[in-house]
This record gives sequence, C-alpha cells and structure tokens, in this order.
Amino acid sequence: MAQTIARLEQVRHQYGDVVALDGVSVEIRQGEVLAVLGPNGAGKTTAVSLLLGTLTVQSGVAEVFGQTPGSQAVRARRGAMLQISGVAETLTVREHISLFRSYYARSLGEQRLLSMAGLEELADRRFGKLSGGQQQRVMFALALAGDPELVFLDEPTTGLDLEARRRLWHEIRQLRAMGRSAVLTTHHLEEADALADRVVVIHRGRVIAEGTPAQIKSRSAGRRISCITEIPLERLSMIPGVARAAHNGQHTEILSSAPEEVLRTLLEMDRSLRDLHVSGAGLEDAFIALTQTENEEAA
Amino acid sequence: MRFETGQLDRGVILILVGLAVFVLVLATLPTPRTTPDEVTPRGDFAIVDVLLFDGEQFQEHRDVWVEQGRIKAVGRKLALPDDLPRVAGQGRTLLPGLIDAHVHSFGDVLSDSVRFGATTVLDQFTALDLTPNRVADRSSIGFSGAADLFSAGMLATAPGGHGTQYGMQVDTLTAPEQARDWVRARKEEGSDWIKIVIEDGSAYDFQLAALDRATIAAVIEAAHAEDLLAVAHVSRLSAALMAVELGIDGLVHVWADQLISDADAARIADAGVFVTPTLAVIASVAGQTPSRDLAGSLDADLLSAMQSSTLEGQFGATSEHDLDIALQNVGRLHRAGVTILAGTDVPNPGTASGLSLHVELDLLVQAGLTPAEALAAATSLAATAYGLDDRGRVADQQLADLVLIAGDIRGDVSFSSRIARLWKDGEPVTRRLQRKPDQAFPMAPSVTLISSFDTGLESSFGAGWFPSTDDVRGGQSAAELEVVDGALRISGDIKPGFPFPWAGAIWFPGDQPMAPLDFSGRTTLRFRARGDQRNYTVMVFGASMPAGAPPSASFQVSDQWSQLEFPLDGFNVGGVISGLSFVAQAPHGTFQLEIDDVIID
Amino acid sequence: MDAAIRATVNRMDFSRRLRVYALESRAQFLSVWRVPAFSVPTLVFPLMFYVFFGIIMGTRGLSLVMPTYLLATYGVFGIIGPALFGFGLGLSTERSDGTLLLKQTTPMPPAAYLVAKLSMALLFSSLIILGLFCMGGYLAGVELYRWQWFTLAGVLLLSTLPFCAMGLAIGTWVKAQAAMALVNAVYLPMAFLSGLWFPVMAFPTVLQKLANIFPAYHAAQLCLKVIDMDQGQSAVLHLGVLIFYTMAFLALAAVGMRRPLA
Repeated sequence: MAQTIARLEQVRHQYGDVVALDGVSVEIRQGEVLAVLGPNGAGKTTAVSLLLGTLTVQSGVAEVFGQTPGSQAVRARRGAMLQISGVAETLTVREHISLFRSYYARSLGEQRLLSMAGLEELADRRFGKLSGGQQQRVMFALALAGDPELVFLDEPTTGLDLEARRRLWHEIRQLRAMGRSAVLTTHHLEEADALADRVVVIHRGRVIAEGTPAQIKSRSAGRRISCITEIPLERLSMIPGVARAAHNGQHTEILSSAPEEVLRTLLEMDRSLRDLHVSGAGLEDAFIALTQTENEEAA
Repeated sequence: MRFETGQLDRGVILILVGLAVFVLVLATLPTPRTTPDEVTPRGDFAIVDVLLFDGEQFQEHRDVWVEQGRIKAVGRKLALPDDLPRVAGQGRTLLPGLIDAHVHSFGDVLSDSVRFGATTVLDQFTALDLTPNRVADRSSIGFSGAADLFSAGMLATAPGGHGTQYGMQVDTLTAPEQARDWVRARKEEGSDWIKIVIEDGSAYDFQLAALDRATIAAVIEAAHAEDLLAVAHVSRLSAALMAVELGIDGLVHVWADQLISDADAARIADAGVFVTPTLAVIASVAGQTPSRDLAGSLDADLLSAMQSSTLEGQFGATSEHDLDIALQNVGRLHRAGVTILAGTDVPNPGTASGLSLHVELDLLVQAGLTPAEALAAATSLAATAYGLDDRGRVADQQLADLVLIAGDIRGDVSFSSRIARLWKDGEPVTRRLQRKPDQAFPMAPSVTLISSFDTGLESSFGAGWFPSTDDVRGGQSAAELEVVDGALRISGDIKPGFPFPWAGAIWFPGDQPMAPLDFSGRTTLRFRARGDQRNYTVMVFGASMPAGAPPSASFQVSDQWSQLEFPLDGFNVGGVISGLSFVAQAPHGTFQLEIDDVIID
Repeated sequence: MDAAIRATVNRMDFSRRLRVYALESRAQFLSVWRVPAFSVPTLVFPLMFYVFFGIIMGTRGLSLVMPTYLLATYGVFGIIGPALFGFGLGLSTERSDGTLLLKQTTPMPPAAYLVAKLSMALLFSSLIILGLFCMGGYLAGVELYRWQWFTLAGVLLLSTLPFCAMGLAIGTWVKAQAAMALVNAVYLPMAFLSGLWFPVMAFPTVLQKLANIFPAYHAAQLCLKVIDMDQGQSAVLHLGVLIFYTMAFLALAAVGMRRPLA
C-alpha cells in the first residue's frame, strides 16, 4: 500500500456550539486522488482547512508530510484551490501566475502552467474579465504553481456549467497522470466517481463510509426504480423501503434497498404505471442511501 | 529552478528611475529667489523671509515689500512680482529706521547718524537757519545723504543760562509774560516742539542762571496753546518732578543725582510723560567711554572725522554724575510704565552720531528693558511721542527706512558691527566713507619743519599763513597775525553772528589756498603753543571741503609754552592736506594764542 | 551541509525573497492602480481641492500664505487616502473574498503582504506629493527652501505610517462593506477637524482643542513645522501622539488578525 502523506486522526472541531467534525480520521496516500464527499455543511471544508493549516486543530491530529499542516515547509510542497477565494480582478492571468510562482523555490514554468490549465489564449486577460470556468482554471493553475506533491481542490467545479466542469476534470486527471496526490472535496458524486481513486463520505461531521468508488457503491445494495406514475411523491416516500423519490423529467425515480417489495406495492397502487426500469444504483445513489441511513439513525 | 533575473533587474531599474525622478522633481521646485548679496536694490524691492522687528515686536518669516520709497506690504509669503529684486532675509533681522530722540544737529550729525541706521533724528537745540531744507527733505521721498531732522530749534533758557554758552545767539526769557510771544516766535522759525531748560548747574557743581517756576509754567502753557509739545532738559530729580507737575510732555534726560521713588515714578507714568534718558552722554559725563569702546571694534572707514573727534572728547569728571543711578532710575521709570525713548545727545564729547544710539540701546537693556522694548524706544515709541506717523514702524505706507542686520538680535541688541544693509526712503545708504586715495596730488616737499617763525611768517613751502575767521560765513569774529619773538601770535575776538563762530590762522601747503598736497608717509603734527587759557582747535583740511565741520582736534594752553602732538590718522584725511588751521571758537570774547615750530613728520 | 553550498542557498533564498516582495508590491500597486474608482479619487481629489482652495481661492490678494499652508495640509489629506482606502479597505476586501486565505496556503512570507501594501500606499503618496508640490510651486508660486521641500516630502511619507496602521486595524476588524462606510465616516470629518482643509487657527477655540485628538492634526502640524506655519506646539508632542496612535492601531490589528478569515 502506498505511503500515507497526510492524515486527520480523531479530529473534532467545533464552531461555538456547532460541532463541524466529530472524530474524523482520514488518510491521504501517495499518488492517489481522494474524494471527500458529503452534502453541504457536512464538514468537508473544515476538514480541508485543518489539512491546509488555515484552521488550528482543536482536538486530534492533523499532519501533512509528517509535519504541522500550516508550516512553511508543508506550504512549499502543496497547492490549494479553495472553495471561496478571489484574487485581484484587475491583474492579468499572467501576472497572477508569475506572482504565485515567485512564492515557491521550485515552481512550474509559466508556459507549462498556462497550458496545463488551458489558459494560453487568456494569459493577458484580466482575471475579472474571465468566465467562471476560466477563473476556476486560473485558480487551478495557481494551485499548481509550486509543482506541489499534494493538491487540495475544495469544490473546484461548483457553479460551473457542464462543459467547464468536463474541462477541469480533464486537467485534474492530468494531475494524477503526473503522479501527484490530490484531495478533492465535492458534493457531486459524479465528480468523485469520475476522478477519485478513493472516496471518503462525510456526513454531519462523521465519516460514514470510505473506500474505492466501487466499494462505496457495493456498500449500498439498493436499486434505482424509474417509471412514469401518477402517485404523488409524498405517498411514494411513505412506502416502506423507499429511500428517496424524485421526479426526473416525466419519470419518477425511486431509490430503494428493498426493490421487490416496493415494486409490488407500486404496481398495486398504480395500475397505469408504465415505462418501468430497474437498475443498479451509482455512487450517487449509494451516497444517498448511505446518508439516508444516517438520517434514519439520527431520527 | 529558474530565476527570472531579467524581470527583477527591470524592477530594480524602475524603482531607481522612480526614486531619481522623485528627487529630481523635488530638487527643481521653486526656492526663494534672492538678488545676489553684492547688489543692494533701490526703489522697488522686497526683503524676504526676515526676522522683522516691526517697531513693537518681533515677527518671524516676514516679507517686506518696498515701492517708491514706502512700504507697500508686510506679511508672510507675499505674492511678489517675479521681476521684483529680493534681498535674502533669512538669518537676518530687519528694523525700522532708528530714531535718535536727542541730538544737536550740526556738522556731520545728520549724515553720520544715517550711516548708523538713525534715519530720523530729533534735535533738542540748534540754529534752524543752518538747515533750511530740513522740512522739504524729511517730507519728500528721496535720499539726500542725511537723516531726516525734526527740531526744537531755539531753547527756552534764562540769560546766561544753560544753552547760552555755545556762542549761538539765544533768545532768552526773564518773565512769564514773554512766554506766549517767545513760543510764537519759535513756531514761526519752524520749531517742531518747545524745549525748556530747567538747569541751575547744581548737579555739575556750578551755578547757572535759570528760568523761574512761573516762567517755565507759562512756556509750557504757551506751547500747548500753540499745539506744540513741551519737553524739558533736567539734571535733577527735583527739576523733573517740578516739570511733570507743571504739565511737561517729556523729559529729555534722566537725572543721576538721586534715585526716584516708586511713587514718584508712578506719578510720571500717570502724567503720561515720556523720558529720553540719554544714557550714552551720561556715561561720558560719568567718565566712561562706551561709545569709544564700541567704535574701536568697528572698521575705521565707518567713522567720519567728526565722529572720531567727538569720541575723543571728554567732560570734566563730575562726581555726582553716577551712571548707575541713572540706569536704576530708568529701570524704575520703565517698571512704573513710563515711556522710555532712546536718545544720545550727540555730538557731545565722548559720543558719536549714530554710533552712540547703539550704545544707548545697550544701556537701556542694561537698565532693564528687553531688547524689543529698547528697540521700540528707538522706533515706534519715539514716533508716537513726537507725533511722527510715517516712520518708526515697518508697516504699510510707512517710509522705507530700513536697517537689515546679520543674525537674530532678539537676545542681543549689540548689532553695530552686523549692519548688512541700510535704506533711507528705499534708497541704499552707503555706510563706508568714500576716500579718494587714487586721486594723485603733488607730493609735499620732504622738509618736515613747516614754520619756525624765526624770521617772519614764511613757511618752508606753500602759500603761507593767513587769518581765518567766520566772516566768510557771515560772522563777525576777527583775527590778526604777527610774528613776535620768533613765534606766531594770533590775536582775535569771537563775536556773535554765526552759530559756530571761529577766528584764527590757517596755513596752505599748496601754491594756491586749499590746493592739496600729498603728505603720505607722515604721521604726526607737532607744534608748540601758549596763550590765554581756553579751548583751541586745530583743524586739518583734506582733499575736499567737508560738508560740516572739518576734521579737528581741540587743545588747551597756558601762559607757558607746551609741546603738542596730534597723530595725522586722527584727522581722517588720508595723508592729503590742503589746509591747517589753529583757531579759537565759542565762547565769545577776545583771545591770544601763540604758535611755534609747526612740524609735520 | 557544506558551508559554501549553504551560503549559495542562502543567497538564492535572499534573492528569491526580494523577488517575492517586489512582485507582491508590484501586484498590490497595479491591482489598486487599475481600479479607477479608487485611484482617480485618491490621486485627483487632493490636487483638485488644492487647485480650488489653495490656488484659485488662496492666491487672491498679496499673500501666498494659504497656498503654502494648504500644500502641507492637503499633502496630509492626500497621504491618508491610500493608507485608509488602499491599505484598510483593500485588506478588508481581501480578508472577505478569500484572497488572503489563498495566500496563507502558499509559502508567501506574511511580511511580504504587509510590505507590499505599505509600498503601494507610499507609492501613491509619492505621486500625490509630486503632484501637489508641482502645482504649489509652479501654479501657485509657492517658494520653499530646498531643505523644506525635501523635509516636507519626507515627513509626509513618514506620516502615512500611522494611517496605514489605522487602515490595518480597520481592515482586520471590519468587513468590506462596513469598512467602506467606516473609512468614509472617519476620513472626511477627521480631515476637516484636523485643519487639513482650512487652517486650524480659523477654528473656534473648542474645535482647536478638539483637533488635538486626531492623528491627522498632529501629522499636519509636524508638516507645518517644516514651513514654520504650525501652531507652535512641540514636535516631540506631535511625534509622540503619532507613535502612540501607530502602536495602538498595530496592537488592535494584531488582535484582529487572529480572527478567522472568511
């Protein structure tokens, strides 16, 4: 197994009375892309902030490269793309890159960064004049400026359209191809599925699942039932065994850990039910199922 | 690892260029422009960033703008026209032209005063017909080379009283009834105020006829009726208090006979009477020589022959005259709130016109005035006391009579040697006396004995000996020359007719009367003399006729022969002599003087 | 490690740090310079006010007292702008929008950030000083001795420090929007009450006394002392007050800096 280069161990973090992390342990291994998955408010950003050293550990252990996360030595070896972060809007892409490169003793070349982030054409544009996706690519380039061994990408694709998201994914994959390690937080399962070697699911400040995307999927025995039905969603969600019900265009999609029983009930309730399709759940479904369980336990 | 040193170097260059631009811009910003110090501007000019004494107080960083002989504006940072000449005032002090509130104007008093910054003098007794142009001079813009003169003219005294001993025709008083006509006559003559002598000689251990109390009162009353100030000469406290009681406006000496009490000082203050102590002359009377000491520290070419000669003069020492008492009296008067004015009583023995006013300032400070108060005594206070509203201050529309002094004189008014520039009516005053060493005159023959009178009136060279009297100036004095027993006997009579009468003998070294010869290399005038006991004067005429009295020295003789020697330097003629005279002057009366073995070597 | 190698590494390290400071300062300046809403008022307002009050109104009559006096006080007015707006507002914004957070994840030396902001403020101040001095000297006809021009510029540049400290304190304690309001609420009233717009001697006695509490008053008096137009208080007093304010604001900022970023 690859070497652990960063870890949180039994970390507990509170903002006032609100517990953000409650005994979280996570390991990041050399060369892997680790996705930290969870809904908004689950504690992902807190976990990343502890690993970046922008938050001070209250209880437990946070280490990167065996050192305190905020130390100068650690900073020199990792890069970060934060969820909320601006840079001066009036500076050009090139100016930002050359400034960030100056921070590192060892940096990637300007051209290399521009091309890695697909910014060659935009190098002399001011940051403020770029689209959201272009701006995220600039932030990505800045995260890589110091040729980091470990990159933190906190919700890198939030607010981007599909095209822009795909483009950034492509760049993150390149990173992995270069043998760099990365921590990716996201609430898009698709993103974790597409990019991660390993997934850690955090919910309400706890790790509720950990493993490869496949393992996570297998943790959930659930199925996705898709059909066209007139049963209102409220009624559907009351059926035992239904984890979640939602409309998806014409179709109603039901997630269930006991599909056979649910199907039987459905068919009894709605004779006109049609276009029925049952499939294995994706990572997304697994995530929903997992968090559903958590919710039920909590309730 | 790659260093983009090129970019860094560009940055460094940019920073250096920026710094250089910053420094360059600052270094080329406008600084106060001033005219080079060698040039003294005249007419329209300004003195910038000077420590100004405006007549009352010191003000820092002032600009003074002079236009057509008057002050156009005074202030900080005046918006001066670009082409206006500017005198650098930084590190210098500017004063209004000084006012000497007690002089006697004759000879070079006016020209000597102005060269020392006393641009206005207040004369306390002179013959007004000697200065017919004084009113025109003082009320017009334009510099005539002399201080502006205001004068009491003739003084009010008793027959044979103080003031009659100088040989001038004096219109005396004997009774109160004469007062009104007497004052009107003075006003007619042009007296600017009335001066009354209250002096019985007792302070000097002799007896003099004096005006009685009723006559003094009547003269004061008559002066006030004619809208004239009345000021008094006093030498005793009792006389001062009496004058104050009778309504006098000012006292033009302080007394040194006794200390004034605080109550009496307060009375003088309450009466609004000003006092001009004339400490400079009192010091000389007391046997001290502050004016001569000061002169010794100055360049010789600042002193005229008259100044040099009056400085050498001495009063007979009078024990009762104590400078300390005078100083203490001034201090008490000042503390009581009496207005003190600066006056010198030049050209009395031991004083020098202009120069002694600087001594007076020092003495006033010694008496307890602050430097600013002493300067006010010599400027604004004098102007106010005598109703002169166009001078005494540096302010809008005042005359551009200005004294610029090197350094800050707030702590030390001894500035005689530090006068940098002087203006009268906006015109520069030349302080140093012009000599004409370049003008070539025939060398005098090398023989040093001029005349031994062994065989008659002949001299070794020159036009010879002649009588010399004031009849050339309209006087009545007479003189006769004869050779008796191998000596020159001069017999004469000094008579009224000219204010400064004289009679005696003159020798002309040249072929023509007053043709100059070059005596350079010679240092001493020697002769033997005897005769009637009185003061005689030896005068040396230089290359040109002086405006006032020629350089002279006085001597006394007895009925025994005595050998006399005078250094030629003392006459300030620069080695050039056109005439040499031995004369008697005031007082009136006959005299006989014998001279022998006249030598210039 | 071999000493020679260590020396080489240190030298390279020094050169690299210098480069960080230089680039950070350049970035700070450019990022502010390129915001016309900031740079134009900061640079133009002091000059504009000076032209109006100092030159057009101030040179009527025979005296150049007003243009000379206002040269010093508008200088102070000018240098406070970049310190409060550039330093204070900038810091507040960068704390709010995550810029500072991102920089904290990098090996950028924290001092470089402050030095860059200070350099930016000083550079803006220098431009304002040059502009004002040229207007005063060449348009209004103000004449000062060369040492006075240089000393005045120097005192003005030094006077930016207390206001940078003030900006730092505001920036660390107040969120961007509120900071804008606060800076505006402090800047103009303080400028007016400190006698930067009109000579303080024209004020009623109460206001003259009140002026003593403002650092801007003391900075202005220090500048006016250079041209002998101050109120006659001791330079040590002015310096003392300015140092006190600087220290107090720095202490306030040090506490505020510990508060979590956005």
